Amino acid sequence: MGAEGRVSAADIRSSLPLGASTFYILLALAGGDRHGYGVIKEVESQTGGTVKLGPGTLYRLIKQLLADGWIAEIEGEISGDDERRRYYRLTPRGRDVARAEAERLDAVVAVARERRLLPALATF
Amino acid sequence: MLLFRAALGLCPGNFRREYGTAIRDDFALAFAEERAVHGTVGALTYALGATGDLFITALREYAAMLFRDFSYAFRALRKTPSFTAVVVATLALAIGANAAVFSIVHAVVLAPLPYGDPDRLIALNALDHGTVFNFDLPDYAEIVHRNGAIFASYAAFHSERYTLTGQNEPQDLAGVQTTPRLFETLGLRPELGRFPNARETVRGAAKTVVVSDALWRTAFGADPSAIGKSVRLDGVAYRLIGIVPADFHQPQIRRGFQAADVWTFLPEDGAGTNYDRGWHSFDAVARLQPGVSLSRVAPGVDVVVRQLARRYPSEDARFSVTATSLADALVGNVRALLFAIFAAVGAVLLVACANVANLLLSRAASREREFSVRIAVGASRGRIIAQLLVETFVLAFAGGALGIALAYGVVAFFVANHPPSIPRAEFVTVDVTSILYTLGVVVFCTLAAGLAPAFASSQRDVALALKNAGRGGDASSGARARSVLVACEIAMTLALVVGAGLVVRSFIALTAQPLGFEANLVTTVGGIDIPDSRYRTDAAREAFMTRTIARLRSIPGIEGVAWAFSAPFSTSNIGTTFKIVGRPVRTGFEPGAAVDPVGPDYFRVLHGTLLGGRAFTDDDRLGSALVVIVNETLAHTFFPGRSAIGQHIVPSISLSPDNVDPTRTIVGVVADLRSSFTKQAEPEIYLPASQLPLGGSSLIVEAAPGTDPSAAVAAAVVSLDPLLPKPKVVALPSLLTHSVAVQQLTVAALTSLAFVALALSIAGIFAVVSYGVTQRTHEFGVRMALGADARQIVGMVLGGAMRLALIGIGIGLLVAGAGTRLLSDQLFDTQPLDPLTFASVTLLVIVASLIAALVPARRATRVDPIVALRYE
Repeated sequence: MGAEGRVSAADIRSSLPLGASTFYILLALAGGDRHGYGVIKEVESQTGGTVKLGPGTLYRLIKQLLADGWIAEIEGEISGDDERRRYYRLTPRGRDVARAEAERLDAVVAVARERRLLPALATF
Repeated sequence: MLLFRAALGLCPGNFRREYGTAIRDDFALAFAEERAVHGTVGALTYALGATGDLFITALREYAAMLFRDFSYAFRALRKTPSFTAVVVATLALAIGANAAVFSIVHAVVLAPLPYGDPDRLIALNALDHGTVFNFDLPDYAEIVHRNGAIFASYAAFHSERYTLTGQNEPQDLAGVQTTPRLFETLGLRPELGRFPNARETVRGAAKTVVVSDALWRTAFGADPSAIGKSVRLDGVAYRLIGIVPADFHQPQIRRGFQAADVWTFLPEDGAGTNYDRGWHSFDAVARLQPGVSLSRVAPGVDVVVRQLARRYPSEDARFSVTATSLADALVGNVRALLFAIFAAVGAVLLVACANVANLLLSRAASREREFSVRIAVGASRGRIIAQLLVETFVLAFAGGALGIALAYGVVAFFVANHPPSIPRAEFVTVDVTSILYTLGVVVFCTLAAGLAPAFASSQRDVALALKNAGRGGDASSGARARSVLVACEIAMTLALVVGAGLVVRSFIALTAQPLGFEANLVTTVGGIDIPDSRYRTDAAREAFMTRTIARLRSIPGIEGVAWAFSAPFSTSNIGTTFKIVGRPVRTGFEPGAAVDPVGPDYFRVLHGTLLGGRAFTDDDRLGSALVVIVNETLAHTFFPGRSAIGQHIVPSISLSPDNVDPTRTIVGVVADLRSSFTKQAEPEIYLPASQLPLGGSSLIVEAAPGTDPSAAVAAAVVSLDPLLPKPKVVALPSLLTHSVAVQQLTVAALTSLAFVALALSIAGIFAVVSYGVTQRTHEFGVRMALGADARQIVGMVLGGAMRLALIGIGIGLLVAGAGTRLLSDQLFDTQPLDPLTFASVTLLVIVASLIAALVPARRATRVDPIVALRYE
């Protein structure tokens, strides 16, 4: 996955919408590099404890994200508890994808507000 | 925890190796945390959820892998369209043939009978001195009535033709006369109305009739109020009481099924009808009591049969009864034949698989570099095998899909053109069962054609292969596998061609038999049913025949007209026993012969050969001296070494006035007029029809060459009596063809399959030898540089090919020797190990192999030593 050059917007759009679990993992890594269990904990706290990824799903998606070049594996130098742990980091391309997904969801939410499913945002 | 580990174990190897430790560690951490926060129950709930999640992960990983393999396979196959087309076409042909034959075998032989609880249905078979016979009603009734513990229900029946009048045009109908419980025995409910009860069939009760759904629709406009109406059959009034459902098929013992439109009823023991003791024309079926097995039938029946033999020695001394399952009785006769054809398509499938495996091996050899690279970057051997098997599966599946389409075509053709003697042929369809079977065949092909190439190409030594890739170094295991495959192909092909050769030889022997009459110029009318109700006396019926013949003779182009009780090649035959005057025989052990009452010109019109004595004349009438003509077989059998003419015999078949001395004088001997290609000539007695009036008659008409008098004959009959149904007139040659239709089908099926197998084998030999020549280009170059000439090179290549062919032929001869036993029942005048067939087929296969090898062998001689050596 040498140089993760930015890719075209159309290319990114074709990968949307992301699966919910995929998006959670990207969000978790957007907050900083984490190992697998760290991702599980982060997703749990992001979702107020409602989503607890199973290790099976987690690593299946990690494998996929690595293959797509959206995340990268880094050496576990962030020390502490366990050196054997592998840490994962969001790549620039992964960041683009996560951003695109967030924008897509934002637009969806805007529609929901328009339809009065959510209270309007205070504009000033 | 254990479950979690098990689920992890299910994950694909590479995934497990990469993430197994992490997954286990994370699970342990999360589990510990859950226990700390939510207690043991919470932790266990989490463990269960995580295990399920991991299990689904395993499935999704496999699915993703398979998806990758499939898309890779599609890409790889698209890159070599001609290879793909050849393989798919080969498999489509073989799989299609299998699907079609399976559909036929399934519908005809394997499918359960279309009756309620068919496993409890049996047929009772009457035997007379060991040969097939029919029941008379009194014997049948005694046997079934006294075995109530064995039989829950039973019926005896025979076919009968009826003329329906009073509804539109007079209509000739196929009917069945049966004892009352036929439908109950077969587990059938009426579509409308009811079936008769026993009281309605006794003498004096009003006659009742049940009709088919089809007749109800055509003749009664599907009107429900037709039930209870009066219907005239042969001029007699019957009350219509029920309609038989459209999907009912009347069983016909030893022949399969019969289309019937009307059923009339007889009392169980025939009392008070024409069908009393001595009228042996009935088939019998029975339903076993629940829990009673077929083996219980024979002892129970035998007791009664022995008593019958003591009580009626002249009738029943040689009488015996066997019981078979009804399925055997109806479809057993074609089982061996269809299984033989099934075995043949199976052999073609194996040949096709061998050919495809061969092509795949060559293809794998040319992709060596691709596999080596994949192995080098970490793909496991299992992954490469899986990948190659998926490719083969894609090919086999495409072949299967095309094969199904092909099978639809073959089955449609078969249904439209099937021999009439194959039961249930009209119900053959490519149904769900056939498609499932085809899917099974596809999987079989994948493994049979794909396993060897997949293993051979995955076991390459990486370093060696990478070094050799691009050069012509063949791994010897692939070459050996190819040779073995071709030898197997040749073996299967030889066996198939031998089978086909035997069948062809048998067919030639069968149809080359002299039948004793001129078949080309004669047309016949199958059975004009002159109704007793309107032609009350024998004289009236004969007068009608005489008028008809006179009318036909007056038609221009008609050169001769004769009539007989049954036409040549027809299946309706009557038999009799007879005594020879001056030769006492123990009662009940009199010899038997077929009886044919014939009109005066019979032998002249059929161009039969009179071997001695005279033919019948118009003077052989009722009232004049009773005479018979016998055939050659009878004369040879019973009067060996002397003339039969002038001898006296007493046929047991009755003559109308009982007070006349039934002794008859033999006045002539004719060459055997065979009633069929397939049956041996039997002793036969011809009587002047006027001296044994039996009713139904067939006209035999000789017309001028090149004319077709069928329409004129039919019109002439109807013009003399408009109440008669229009008779069916057919050319004798077409009856000839019908009588050997099954044999024709066998010949067509086996020869075309043998041809396919031979073509595939030639292609296989060609491919292997070509490949070998390509691989040895360098060697040939060196040899030629060292002075070998073209003939030596050709000799080397052909020698290699011949060694292969001879091994195949050796195995094939063994397979054929064992396999042709399957055919032995189908062969006429041909030994299953017929040396001529075996020898000529062996020669054929050798020549075919030589020709297949010759083209690549000649190419080997054109190797330019300089070019070949340059690569060194």
